Amino acid sequence: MAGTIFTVQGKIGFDVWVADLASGTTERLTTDPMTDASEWTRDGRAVAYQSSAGVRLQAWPRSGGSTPIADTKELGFLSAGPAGAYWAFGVNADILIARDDSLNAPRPFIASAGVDEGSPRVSPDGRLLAYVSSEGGQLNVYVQPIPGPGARARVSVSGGRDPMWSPDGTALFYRTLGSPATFMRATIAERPRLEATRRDSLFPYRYAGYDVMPNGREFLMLKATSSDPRAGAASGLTITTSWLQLLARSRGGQAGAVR
Amino acid sequence: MTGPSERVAEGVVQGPQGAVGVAASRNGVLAVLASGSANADMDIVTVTDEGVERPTAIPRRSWGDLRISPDGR
Repeated sequence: MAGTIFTVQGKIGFDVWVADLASGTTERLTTDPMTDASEWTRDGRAVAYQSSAGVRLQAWPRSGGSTPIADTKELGFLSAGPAGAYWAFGVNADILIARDDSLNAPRPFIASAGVDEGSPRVSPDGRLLAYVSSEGGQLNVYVQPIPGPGARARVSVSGGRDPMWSPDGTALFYRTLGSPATFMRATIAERPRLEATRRDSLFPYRYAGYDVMPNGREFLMLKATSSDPRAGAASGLTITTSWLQLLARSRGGQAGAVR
Repeated sequence: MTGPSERVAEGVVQGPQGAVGVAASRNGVLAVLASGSANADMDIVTVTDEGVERPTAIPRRSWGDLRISPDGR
C-alpha cells in the first residue's frame, strides 16, 4: 500500500503519518519527536525525513527501523531527486545539494549573503531546481539548472512562494503572497532559454499546504476547518506596542495585545 | 535580554526556510505575523485546477505538511 505522507504537529517537532487516499486509513511512520522535513523517494519505497539524529530513510511499507543517510540536523526542506541525480536541502537560509550517492556531503548551491533562499524542489527529471528567494526584499519563485551552469529564471512576477512541479516537469505551481492569495500555474520552457513563458491564475488559495496529483490537474490541499477558531484568524498582523511591559506584566499574571 | 522565557505570541508565520514572522524593537514594539493554522485541525480535500473542491476519506486531524506518493494513492 502506498499513500500520502503527512506531518502532524507534536509537542516539539512533527511525526510522519501515511494515509491511504481511497480508504482514509492512516498509519504512523516515525516516532522521533524532532521529525521535520519529509519527502517520498522517487520510487515511492521509502520516506526521507529530518530527525534529531540527522536525515533518515524509513522503508514503506514499514519494515524494520530507519537508516541514516545524512548527518545534518537543521533541515527546513528536503527534496529528493531521481536516481543518479541531486537532492536539495534547505538549511537555515541557504540551499544545499548533494548527489544521491553522497547525501552526507552536501555543498552550497544557492547561498547569497543577506538573502533568504528556501523551499527547494528538484524537477521530475532532476535537471532543474525551483526555489524561493527574498532577493529584492520580496519572496519570489525562481528556477535554475542543477547543478549548473546556467542562469536562473524568475517565475513569479510580483511575489510567490511554495513552488511545486507538475509531474511532467513542464509547469510550476505556486501561490502568490498576501491574503487572499492566488494559486498559479507557470509554464516552464528550457529552449531557447530557461523561462516562464506563461502564467495562469487558477483559483483563490485558501489552504495551508498542498501537493500536485499525478494527473497534474488536481491538487491535494490542507484546509483549516471552519469550526476551528484559529482558522478565522489566518494571516493577521498583530502589533503590540509595549511588549516589554506586557512581558513583565504576564509574569505577574496579566497579558494583552493590541490588534 | 536575560531571564526566563514567556509565551508572547502564537501561530507565527514561518518564512521559506523556517524564519519566523516576528520583529521586535528595543522600545517595546513587537510585530507578529500569525498564520492562524498552527496546530489547527485540517481537512484534506482535492481541488481541481478550476477550483472545484471535494472531500477525501482522510480523517480530520492537526495535519501539517503533505506529500503525495509517486503513485498518487
